[in-house]
Amino acid sequence: MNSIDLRGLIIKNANVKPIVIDQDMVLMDPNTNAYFNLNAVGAKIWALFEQGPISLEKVANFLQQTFHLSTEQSITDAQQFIDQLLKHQMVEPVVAPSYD
Amino acid sequence: MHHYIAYQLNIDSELPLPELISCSSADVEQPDVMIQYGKICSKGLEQATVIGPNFQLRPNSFWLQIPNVARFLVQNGCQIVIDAVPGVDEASLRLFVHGHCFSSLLIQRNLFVLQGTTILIHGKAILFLADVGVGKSTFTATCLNRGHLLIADDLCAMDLQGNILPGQPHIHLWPDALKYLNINRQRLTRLRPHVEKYALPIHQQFYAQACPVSAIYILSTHPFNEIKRLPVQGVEKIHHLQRYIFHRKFLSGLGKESLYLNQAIHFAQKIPMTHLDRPLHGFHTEAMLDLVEHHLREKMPV
Repeated sequence: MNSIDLRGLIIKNANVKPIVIDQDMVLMDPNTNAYFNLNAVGAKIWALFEQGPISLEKVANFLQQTFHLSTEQSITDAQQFIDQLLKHQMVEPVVAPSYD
Repeated sequence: MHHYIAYQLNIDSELPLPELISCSSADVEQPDVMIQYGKICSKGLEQATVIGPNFQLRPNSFWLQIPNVARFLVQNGCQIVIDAVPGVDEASLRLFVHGHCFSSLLIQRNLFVLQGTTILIHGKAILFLADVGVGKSTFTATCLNRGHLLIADDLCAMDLQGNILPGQPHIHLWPDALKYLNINRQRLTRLRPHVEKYALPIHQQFYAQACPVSAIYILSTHPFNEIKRLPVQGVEKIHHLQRYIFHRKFLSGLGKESLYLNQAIHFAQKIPMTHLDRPLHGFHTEAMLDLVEHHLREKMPV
């Protein structure tokens, strides 16, 4: 993941809605017909995105505290997960307004 | 003109379709579907959005060309036009009307069309999905032998609420299945003159009412010696529902991909699904049905 830094904010794709099927949570974008399956941990992280834009660092902090991981491990895990969300266009980096 | 009813649609047809339930013209004021002979452009559709090797699509239109048989045009979920090659046998025309034409017509009418068979077991509509060659037809015949009722075979159409619509009162069987079921093929008609597959009419055991689907089973084979039953959960259900869509390649051209994904999600949330795997070789339909009946009794007591 080269495109976002630790503190850069990431926001959920406004079209995406979470759907529950049995015990699974599935993210779905009705505009593109894309869907993405979340496991239990993924669903907890998605709840953070539901609250508003969030940085990779904040997601890693959450993982570190919840699962008692090392800082390094939590950043790797957060990065992998956010990469997947970006790849499936479930989230996108917040583009800073340009003033020039 | 002949008058029939199938998938809860009143059908007027110039081509005789003896496999369907016929009704008298007095019962029908306005047909839902017209099947007529007519001229069809050999070049295909104007503004086609998808062009396949022998078919073309755009929202609400499906064009099909079968060499030495006919060209077919299915429009707006209410019309099938047949431009037949002179001298072609009606059985060949019917095969494509019942398959490609009906499936695209039902998709145009916003129905969710799956390749499977639906049987009424202990008063519940149970949908069985399977790939070609898994033994779905033999399984269907075994169900009927045991007194269960047929709702739809091969082409199973569900409405937006998840009700399965009664289809056509016949099933198709290969000679080995007929032999296994002790059915004499002499009196049966072949699907096409040179195809060794036979249509077995189902009259007494056809259930002609729409019914909510209570459970879905995925029939498949595996390399082990015993029959195995496994629940399907979560997003896997969507994968299966999408996999067994009848003529899935027509969906995008007909502009129904979004509708189908939404419907697949809706059905996945609502309907329990189970894998039923049988050994690769031999006939196992009796034991499979035992397992299904037992499972249904456990899960959904009458």
